[in-house]
Amino acid sequence: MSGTILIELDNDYLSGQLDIVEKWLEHTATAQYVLVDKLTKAVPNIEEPHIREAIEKMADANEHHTNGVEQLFSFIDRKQNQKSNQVLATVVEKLEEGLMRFQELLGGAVGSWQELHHLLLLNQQAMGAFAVVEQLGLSLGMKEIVDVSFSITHEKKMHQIILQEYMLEMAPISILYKENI
Amino acid sequence: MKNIATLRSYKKIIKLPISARPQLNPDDVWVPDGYQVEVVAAGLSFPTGMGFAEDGSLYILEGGSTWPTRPALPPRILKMDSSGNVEVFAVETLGGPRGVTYHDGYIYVSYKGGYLARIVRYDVKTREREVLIEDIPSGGWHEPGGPVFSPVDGLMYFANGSVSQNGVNLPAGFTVDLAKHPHAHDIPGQDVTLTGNNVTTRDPLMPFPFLTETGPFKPFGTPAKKGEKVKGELWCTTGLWRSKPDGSDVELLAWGIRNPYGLAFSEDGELYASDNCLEEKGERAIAGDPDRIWHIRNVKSPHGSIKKPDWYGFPELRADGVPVWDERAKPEKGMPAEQLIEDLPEWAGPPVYLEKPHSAMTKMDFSRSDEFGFRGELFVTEWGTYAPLNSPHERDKDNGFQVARVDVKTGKAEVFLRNKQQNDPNRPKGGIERPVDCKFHPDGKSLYVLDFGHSPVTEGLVQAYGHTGVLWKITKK
Repeated sequence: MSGTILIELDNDYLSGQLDIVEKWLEHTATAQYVLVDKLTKAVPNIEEPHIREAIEKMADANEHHTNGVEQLFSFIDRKQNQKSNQVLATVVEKLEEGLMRFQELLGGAVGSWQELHHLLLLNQQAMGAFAVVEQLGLSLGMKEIVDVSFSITHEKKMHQIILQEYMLEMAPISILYKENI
Repeated sequence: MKNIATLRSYKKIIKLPISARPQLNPDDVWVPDGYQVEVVAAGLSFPTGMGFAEDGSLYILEGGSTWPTRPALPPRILKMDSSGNVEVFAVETLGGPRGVTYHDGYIYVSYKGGYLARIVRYDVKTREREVLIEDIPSGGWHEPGGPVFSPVDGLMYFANGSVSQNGVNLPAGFTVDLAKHPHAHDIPGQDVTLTGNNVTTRDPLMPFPFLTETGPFKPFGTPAKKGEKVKGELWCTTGLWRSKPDGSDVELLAWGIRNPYGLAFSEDGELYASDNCLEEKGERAIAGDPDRIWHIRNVKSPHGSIKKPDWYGFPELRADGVPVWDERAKPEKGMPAEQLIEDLPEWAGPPVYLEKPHSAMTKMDFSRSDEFGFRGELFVTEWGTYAPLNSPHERDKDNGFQVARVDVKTGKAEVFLRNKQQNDPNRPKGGIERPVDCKFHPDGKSLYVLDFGHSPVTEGLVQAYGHTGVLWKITKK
């Protein structure tokens, strides 16, 4: 035997793997745009000052997360199709919002609490997408992907806890008392 | 046969297209004068073990879900022939392969996954797969050991570690083991009576820190009662067994071995098991427990004659024989341990060799070759510490990350392979990262060292990067 055997480290193999990562990043970008759009729309509708402040901070953090998507594309030397992802995000948001509003209507929820409920689900979706990016980075030995996606996922995990707490805390006001929060 | 993408590099210093391990340089590795280091293969994903067939073919295990459990990559057995051609010999769906040995036309493989660990064999010609044993209680922290075959009686020997880290299932790893396997727990290898001491913790699933009590040999959240008797089982945790090569006539030789990942027979048929120390963290924290190598005394008893298995100390004794509730085992970090078992069984220690805590000794092999040298000495891979996660001591942060050669008769050891620069688990250069297995080539000329790859540790997380595993070869000049 002579020379060192490099297993799954040749250009063709890695390039094929990065094509697959690119597709997942497009999905991640879409999930992130849906979340950001919803955060922007939710802020003016939330009346409770502490919750509103928390959602504003979340929106600020998500600007950084959106920049992170760009960074992730650069690590694999690809460019995202931003326009297409944003259009897709708008469509996805409409579809998901319609479905969620239908479910909430059946469940008797009203008012701005519904924004929190939607954000909980959309944050979960975006967090999951970034967490998968982290796993892909680990799998392919790409430290820079892991560093960026881990920090975003970690922050979104905190957001998820906050959203869940406020969503549960305020649910009776929307469902039992039929009031805005 | 499944092909796998491979490429050859003929450079001494190898640049890899992955940022987690960008370079391999044999010159960064120290070995004794008269030996040389080469890189045989790179790009392995989470390799956990390997074994040579008589013809020099090498079977390499890629562990699937390993340490930490994610990401999981395909749990594969790779076969590298003597010309260096690599193929996927098998892919396992039931769990991750951990140990492999060739015997009489088959490879025998231990697997970890779900609530049970298994022993599976493959016919190397037809590749027919046969599950021999699937009763080994698992679903927790520690690993299967072996299988290996005795050069004296031809029987198969295998082992499995504990479910809990330190004798009681605690929430330290709730996001993994307790969530995936909430019913898993340790099982003794002989009848024991409990003191009724329980460990009080939070329950991470509850919104407020309710005080939860858990006893030994119980799932998380189930307390033990004073005087309660727990029946010993053939299929215990921390056990070491033997059987015929087809998996029949299983006999328990030993229990109380925390993590017997490495098993090796000497030329004269004595069996040794590597084992890892108790951890200094959490609600049952134990300080100063050394890593160790046990001599398995019962091997010399005739098959089927063992009335009571030997006990090697888990979860009550450090490897130096100190009870874990003794002042000397009091932790600097975490809650001190209490006695769990009322009347301790007779201890089968001391070990033949004690290593620094958290060196994480893994697999091993005896030198059988005058040509290579050190014949009769046990070569042991030391994966390396998880400090500061499992030890608060600065002195523990470099332990391991080497291959040691141990004289099992005198209990003395020397380093055989390590990085030239000081070990740094978070940023090595071109040398080794985490040695997980070593095996001598059947021709007796070289030692192969399997390196798990880049697995950095911080206070909050452990990571493992795919495609960073490396196979090294050490030859006498």
